[in-house]
Amino acid sequence: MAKVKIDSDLLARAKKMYEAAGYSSLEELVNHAVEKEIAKHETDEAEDKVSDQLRGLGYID
Amino acid sequence: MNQFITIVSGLPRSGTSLMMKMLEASGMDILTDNIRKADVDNPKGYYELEKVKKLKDDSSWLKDAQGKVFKMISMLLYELPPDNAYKIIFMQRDMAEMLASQNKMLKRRNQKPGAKNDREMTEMFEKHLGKIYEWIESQKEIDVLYVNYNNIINDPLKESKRVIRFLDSGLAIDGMVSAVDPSLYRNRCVENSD
Repeated sequence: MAKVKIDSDLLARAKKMYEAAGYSSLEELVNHAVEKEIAKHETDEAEDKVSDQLRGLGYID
Repeated sequence: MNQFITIVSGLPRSGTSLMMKMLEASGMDILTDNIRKADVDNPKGYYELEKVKKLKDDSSWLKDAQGKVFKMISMLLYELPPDNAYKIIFMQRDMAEMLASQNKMLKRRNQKPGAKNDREMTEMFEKHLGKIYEWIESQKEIDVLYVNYNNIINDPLKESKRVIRFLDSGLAIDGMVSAVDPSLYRNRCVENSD
């Protein structure tokens, strides 16, 4: 398991809330947050490249 | 008159123009402006409507689109205002065939592809489709029928029946079936291996 440093105040806030948010552990919260952010970035990248393709084909302005 | 608007959607080169041609031949009122003329990529015409590209700015014309059909590329579906009922015929096609056809068209238009190679473009399209399918399912004003282009070529009667059942209308099935011209099925992978 890799280790990542995060701000101590942020860690304290995360420790306080993870159970209330429905996570079984702090690790689960962190994994979910990182996964969600990556998925969002990948989706945005896909939409940009699809838009470029559609523009080249003349289907969008 | 039907109280819903019919839209033919999908990725470019997925068979949207073929479906428009089938619906026109079945007697359905189609909305097209013929601004984009037929060419070597779409010898039977594009059936496009320029104002769908500006739907975000002006959707007033949609009130006259009930009972009619127009074509709209999948990326633009997000712009549909939720105050109408829509039936979407969403065209699907083998991804390699679609990309081969798009690449030819990009070359003829002297344009660059959106991604560095077909593998990356396939991945981008699959992500886009996953997102749009999810979005469509979440829209209560939208009914969708997924129709596969390759299935139309193989069995136009069966697919035409599915479309007519979905639209719940008295469209002419004979016209719909006869509009399918297998000679236009030119972009099989094997033909594009060069």
